[in-house]
Amino acid sequence: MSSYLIFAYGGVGLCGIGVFGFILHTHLLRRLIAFNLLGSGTFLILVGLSQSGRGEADYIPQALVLTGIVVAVAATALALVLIRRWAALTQHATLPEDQGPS
Amino acid sequence: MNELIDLTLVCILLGLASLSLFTQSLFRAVMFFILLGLILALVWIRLDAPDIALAEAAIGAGITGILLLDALAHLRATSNTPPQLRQLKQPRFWLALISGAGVILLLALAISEPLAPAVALDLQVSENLTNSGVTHPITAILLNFRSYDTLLEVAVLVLAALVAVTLRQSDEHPVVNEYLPNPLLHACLKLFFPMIFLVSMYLLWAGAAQPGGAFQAGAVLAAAFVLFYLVGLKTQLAQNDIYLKGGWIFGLALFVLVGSMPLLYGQPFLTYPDSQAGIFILLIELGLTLSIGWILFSMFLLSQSSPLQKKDSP
Amino acid sequence: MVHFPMAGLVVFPLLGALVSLALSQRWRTLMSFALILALLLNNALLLLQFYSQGMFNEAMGNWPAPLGIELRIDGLALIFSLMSAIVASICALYAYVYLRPAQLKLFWPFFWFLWVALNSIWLSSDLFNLYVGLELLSLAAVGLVALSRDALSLAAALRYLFAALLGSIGYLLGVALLYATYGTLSLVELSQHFSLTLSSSVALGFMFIGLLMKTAVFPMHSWLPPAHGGALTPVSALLSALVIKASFYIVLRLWTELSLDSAPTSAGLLMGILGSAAILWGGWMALHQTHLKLVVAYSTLAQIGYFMLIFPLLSDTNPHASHLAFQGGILMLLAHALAKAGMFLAAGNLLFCTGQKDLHSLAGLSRYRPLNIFAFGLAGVSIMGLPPSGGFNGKWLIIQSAMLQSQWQWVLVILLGSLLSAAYIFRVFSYTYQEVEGGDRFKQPSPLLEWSALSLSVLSILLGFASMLVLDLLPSHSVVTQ
Repeated sequence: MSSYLIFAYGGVGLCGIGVFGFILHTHLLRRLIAFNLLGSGTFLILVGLSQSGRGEADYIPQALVLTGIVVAVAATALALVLIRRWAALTQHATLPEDQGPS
Repeated sequence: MNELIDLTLVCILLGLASLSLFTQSLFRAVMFFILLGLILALVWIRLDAPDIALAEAAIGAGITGILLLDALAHLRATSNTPPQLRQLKQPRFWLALISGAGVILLLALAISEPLAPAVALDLQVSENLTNSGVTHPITAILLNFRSYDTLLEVAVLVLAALVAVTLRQSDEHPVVNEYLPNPLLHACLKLFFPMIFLVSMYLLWAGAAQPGGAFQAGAVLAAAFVLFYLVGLKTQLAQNDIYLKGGWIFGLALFVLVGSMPLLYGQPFLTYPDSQAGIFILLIELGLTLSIGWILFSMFLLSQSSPLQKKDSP
Repeated sequence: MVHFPMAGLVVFPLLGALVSLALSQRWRTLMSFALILALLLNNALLLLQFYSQGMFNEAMGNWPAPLGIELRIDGLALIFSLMSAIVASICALYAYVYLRPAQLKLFWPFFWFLWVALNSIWLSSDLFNLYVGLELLSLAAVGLVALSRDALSLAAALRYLFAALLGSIGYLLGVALLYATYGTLSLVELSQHFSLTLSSSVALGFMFIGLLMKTAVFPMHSWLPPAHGGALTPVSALLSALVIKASFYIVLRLWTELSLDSAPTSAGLLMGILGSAAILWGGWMALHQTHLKLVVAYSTLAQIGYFMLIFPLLSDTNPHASHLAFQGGILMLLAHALAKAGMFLAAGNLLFCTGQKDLHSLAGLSRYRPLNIFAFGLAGVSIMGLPPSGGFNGKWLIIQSAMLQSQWQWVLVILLGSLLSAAYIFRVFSYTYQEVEGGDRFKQPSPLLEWSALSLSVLSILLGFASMLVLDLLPSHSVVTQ
């Protein structure tokens, strides 16, 4: 197995863990971390798998991942702003439907 | 031997990912996440992608980490419910488990198929590289072949900053700039600032021929701005709405302007004039670097201005 | 200058975003309206260009696909671009009067970025470019939802953001697999090499789940009602009429261009079942809401279900019936965009009149504010699918297609759904007809607000008469592309 493919499988693992955490967690910050893991996994699959097909570095997916990382950071920053504002207004870091009886 | 290193890296990666999701303390979760970003940077180097490694370290681990840590400080007052892993009776747990396992299974099945791509896009990249105005393929893709993507991507960044300022304006708290208590640290940071600025410009310049470019340079520049802010110099610049927004849109405006010029000469959007592509790319990248640095910095700055209001009532 | 009209669809809204961030309050509004006019003109020019030369592509930066990104104007893209131009212009006019100055100041840049994203999605024929467009769209929409800044809308924005982000990642996962398998991102080139292998199926599966989550198809819909129902009125109209269409448009594009109509019918059947569930669930929930805007929001859920019924009816064995379903689906999408925007704006006017969200407070409005009730009712006619309206024609074509292919179950679902929609719309009416004592104690919305709502509703009815004009833009058998 080429090292490209190994990391593609690593990306698959990250995606699985990310999806598991994203659905399981109700805390918004944890959910955001899960989303970022899911993103990193996707990027690893994109580059790793494409390069394992060719057997050498492929610059197109690498460029796409660079774009993807920046977009992910923008989304994360936006989510954090919303989460903080939400926490400031309600003293909660979970959505109302997830707060449960307490 | 190499495979052993790769497998070890993957194991560390998955271990850190699990830790960052399921550790009890949120602070530790964020720490593990930042660590994961650094390991990812190593992975990208193993994947022959030094550009992404740079970006991952600077943006993925660095900026995201700072933003997460910063948010954490503001979330202290909220009820921190630790992850309830042991609640096996909850349907949510089983839904999460089945989805996660399903994703792994499907993806593993999909990528186990042998690949024989019908189109060799990488060959086209190397064939057209000489006409792109730069010699580094990734910069050629990001700022010439697929510059339209990059244009929209910069719009995404501006948009994120815009949401931050939208939600800020309902707060009455102005930015409080606390000077660092230690004069030695203060002096050191002052010295650091020009050096970091230089590093950023070098990354930008180098991007034409080797790993580096506007986004990595922008992230480094943001760090420089943060230091600049911490030593307490000229931060009123950032509090003025006009300078704030002007800084955000400068890169995008330049990009749109340069991109629309060829329309007047009957050429498609975003076409660079023959033989001058290199200069225009550098110009746009300079604009983007400044704007990206400024946007990332203002994300940090705006987060300073809305501290959690302590309320007595729950 | 040939390149101008197509690039204009992206350049003008980008300029709008820049201008609305850089200029002062008065200039920002003035320039925004100037640019809206420019965009309308631009769309008209594009229509002329399309009439004279048919479908055309343009390579960004003069780099043809697959190396570069090509934009494409065909009938479908043009219809959606025209649709967004009309709806967005009227919503902008409404927002100008409706929003407070502080809100309007923030509204403009988001509005423009939203329009950039929409147009970039209609035009794009590049898988990754579509991803960037989708992200731009989601973030702009989330920003618009959060515009009212209270706790309720923040929760809605957060819920929306997380659903949208998960959806985008699902889509991107699919793109990653497809690129690794075929080595290209260009949709046109992909369709030449595409075959339904295991990895392609998994890729498309992830993409569709992600996109349908962003479209709020049942059962991934729970984020939509609070977001659409709780946002400021012009924002609700934009979100319901345009934003959810974008991700659906990509599904439709992928389905037709990759010739999934010749795929095993189970995929189409699954889409149809999800759609049917959405129609019934959305209609049922709309019938039980107590807030006017939530009725309208749940009605959107049900309407999305109708769009989903296109897929089981697209098949390569019966091109004629298949084409009917495609045409019907496009008409329904268009009619919904116009009618739902009109309905939300009318609902906003009604809420403005009473100052309360509750349906009971509508009592007496039929008597004192008939124009707004009329606007709401006209939009309702199209939503219910009564003749003459765009909604009716769309439904009629879909029913015809289902009957031609003997897929009676969809006919039954459509009829049941129409009954439900009639029920929830007449339920709103019944409240307005109740007599109240004390005479006219309602506020009077400005005429511009009333007329912008009415004009959209009237357009949704007029679409019933001009359906052929619109459908002629589509290729005669667009579904059976080889």
